[in-house]
Amino acid sequence: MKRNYLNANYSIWSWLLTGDHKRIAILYLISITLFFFIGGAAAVLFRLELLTPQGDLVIPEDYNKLFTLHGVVMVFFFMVPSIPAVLGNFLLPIMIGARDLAFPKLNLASWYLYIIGGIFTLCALLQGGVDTGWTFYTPYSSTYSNTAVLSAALGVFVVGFSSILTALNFIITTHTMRAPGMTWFRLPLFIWSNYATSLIIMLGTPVLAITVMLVGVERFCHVGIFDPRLGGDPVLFQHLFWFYSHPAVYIMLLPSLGVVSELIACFSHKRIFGYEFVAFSSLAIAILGFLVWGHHMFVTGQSMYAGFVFSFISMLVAIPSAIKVFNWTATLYKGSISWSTPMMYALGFIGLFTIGGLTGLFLATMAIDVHVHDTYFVVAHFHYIMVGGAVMGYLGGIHFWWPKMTGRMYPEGWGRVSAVLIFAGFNLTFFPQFILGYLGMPRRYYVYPDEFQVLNVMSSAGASVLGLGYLLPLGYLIWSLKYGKKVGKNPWHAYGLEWETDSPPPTFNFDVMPVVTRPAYDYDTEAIEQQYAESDPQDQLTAPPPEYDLVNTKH
Amino acid sequence: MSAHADSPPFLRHQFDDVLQQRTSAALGMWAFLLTEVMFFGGLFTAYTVYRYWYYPEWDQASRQLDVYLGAFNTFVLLTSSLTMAFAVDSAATGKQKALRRNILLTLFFGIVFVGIKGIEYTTKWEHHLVPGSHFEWHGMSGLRVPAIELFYVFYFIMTGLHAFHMLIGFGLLFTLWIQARMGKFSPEYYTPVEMIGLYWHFVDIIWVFLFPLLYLMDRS
Amino acid sequence: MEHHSHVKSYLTVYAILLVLVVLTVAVSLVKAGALAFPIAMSIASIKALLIVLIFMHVKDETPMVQLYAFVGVVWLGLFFAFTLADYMTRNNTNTLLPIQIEAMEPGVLHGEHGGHGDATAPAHH
Repeated sequence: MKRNYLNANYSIWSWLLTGDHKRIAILYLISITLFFFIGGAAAVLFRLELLTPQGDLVIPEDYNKLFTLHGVVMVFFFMVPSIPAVLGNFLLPIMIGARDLAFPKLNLASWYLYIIGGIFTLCALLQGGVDTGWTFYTPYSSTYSNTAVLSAALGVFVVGFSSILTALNFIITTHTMRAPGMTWFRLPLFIWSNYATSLIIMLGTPVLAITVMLVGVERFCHVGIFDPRLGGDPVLFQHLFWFYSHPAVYIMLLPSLGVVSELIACFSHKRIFGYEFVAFSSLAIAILGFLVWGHHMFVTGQSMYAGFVFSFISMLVAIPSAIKVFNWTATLYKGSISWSTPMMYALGFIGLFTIGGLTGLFLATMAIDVHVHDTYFVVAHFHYIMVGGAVMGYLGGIHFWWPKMTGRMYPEGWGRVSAVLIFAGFNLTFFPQFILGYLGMPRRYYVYPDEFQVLNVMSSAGASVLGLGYLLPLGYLIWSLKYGKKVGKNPWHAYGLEWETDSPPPTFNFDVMPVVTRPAYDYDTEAIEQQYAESDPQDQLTAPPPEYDLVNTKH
Repeated sequence: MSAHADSPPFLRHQFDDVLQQRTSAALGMWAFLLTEVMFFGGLFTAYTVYRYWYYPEWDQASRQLDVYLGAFNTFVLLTSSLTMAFAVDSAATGKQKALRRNILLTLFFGIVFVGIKGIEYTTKWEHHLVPGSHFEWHGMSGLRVPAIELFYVFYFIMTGLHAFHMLIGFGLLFTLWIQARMGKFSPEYYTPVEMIGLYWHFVDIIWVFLFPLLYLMDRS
Repeated sequence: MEHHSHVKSYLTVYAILLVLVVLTVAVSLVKAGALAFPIAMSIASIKALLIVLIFMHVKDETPMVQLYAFVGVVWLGLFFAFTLADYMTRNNTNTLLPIQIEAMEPGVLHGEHGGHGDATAPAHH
């Protein structure tokens, strides 16, 4: 068998001390999958509790601990790293034509920080859990809670640095290590999305770090930074927390938007409509996303005038997202559509993300928000974007690039069944929650009035379908590692540098470093049909390198 | 494939040439410093809010800090920045002895700075100005005292975090000195000296803002 | 690569920095009222700018590095601006919370409906 990054060395140390971005991606894949199912298990438990209006499965303190576990694990240990640390790490150097990321040792360090952060958080679980919610609002988290807040805060602090190192690597690599001919506007949109995401991570995560540090100091030293009895302001905590945590939702979403661009282009067999608009819209989301955090605080006593500004800009941030959706739709028009599993996830994404995004506009309207703040309306809104959107994009990407990463194809039939189950289960779980929220059911409550039971039962039933939908890929993807059909370089007949190297790729990504001469998503050219029919795609890259556009390095 | 047989020993395999490596290092360090700006920035924002709320109490509290010792410390740190700049210059012009000397001088002035801060902290402890159960303040009553204590909370956290960054800097400088002694740097390759220089100057800039914010509220 | 010695410019900047330290301490010893804070921050900003441009060589660096340095300042500025936009436009004439006013001056809140304890309000800056 040809030497590739998987069989280059079988020893455990060659994995644990690797500098190869592809191996680090696989290490992340295993770790985040583990955390996904931990966070999912917590959700199963509290959705079981919510089958009945009374509290009968768990005591109230434990209910609080369950939703906190779900939030902390899902946000910090699954959603934030998922696409960047797995797909981004694997694909970014290959997509730009480089041998590796700029700083392979920092990349490995980032994984170890993730694991250490994860261990601290699991310690919090072993110490009896945390009951503050993933939002750690003060003064409960800083003074009054008797749970393992310090361990959890430490875990979040450490995993933040994991995130920062990944982002730093991505930004520098994209600037300085593109192959000759790979100009910014020939980059895949997946790269633009990861770049924008990395910008957000760099500028926002440090503020989260200082915020949890301050909470830790307050708890440990018994001083009053956010405690009103001692002159502190709990709303200040919220400003500091949401300055990161709102951009964080774009960290979780943007990479998925990039994946969807890749999937739509490939499975419409067509160039993305409005490439520059889609590229710049990622940057616009990143920038505008930093200026809206106060929309989480409309009812806290925040100044009404500040509220106007935050509300207005929140409306604006919907625009670049809409631009993407319009451009994808235009790409689909007159495209040659195939209904593969990744395409099903991409199409599901577009519909569900649109619903989630539109309900965000309701929440951004202050008058409506007063009514639905802290209700299930908010919960439904963000799950439509995060699960119906981002997670489906992640799964679509995993399926799309699985043959590239493993050299094996997953069973397409099972893939489609899972996609349908996930789509159906998701909607059954979360659509009733919009109604529940509008009718007034508060979030984070373990009991509710009897009249809400039907909707809650629907939601919990949906959750079991959704859970089954997630378990199936776990099964068949692992199955495919041994029994899946072996693939060549380009099983999807897609366009991109990653499809011009072996599946799985060699350790340094390419046998011959590429020189790029064609625009992005060059699907319309007849030559491509012929070239992909040829057995050796390396031959197509024989044109002399044009003037290339590396970072201006004048001294 | 990767680096050719004739590429310099300090060229890492993922880079095509030395220029790409140096550019990546510089951008990488600046990106890291950006994260540090935001890290301290959160702290400065919280400081600003409470200063706005409790100006009279914070004014009183800040007068307990020794402004002349603080100013002297500022001189010390600025001098260490100067010697660090000299160190980079020595590396770039191949002056090995000057390079080692300047690194040690930078380390020396940094240690003096932290030493003086240690003296200041000890004095605070003796005057019962360290927040917590030991804290005492006379001359104000009721909840104005927590407001004063809050000033000292920020004083200790901000200068403490700054001092922590200096300690990391000491480690970096020491490592740099060892590497300089081993002859690792030349006019063709002195990137680590430059990068650690950037870090050191950044820590200096943080102090440049901390000094007036904490010590110079209003001494008139 | 060519490298001209920058020692002279370093020493010049160092001298200016020391002068600015003396200046900023001197200003704080004088009654400057509301101007004290802007002046102190301006001096600190000039010092920082000198260190960034000369000691950290940003003056000679590529546009991308200059952009990074600039973005850091801008982003922090945005954080400040939007947060202070909340605090400075709130409706309170007294920024102390009711529980605090009660603790400092027991009973004052019961006498007045709404509790704007202006007599005890600290001077704002």
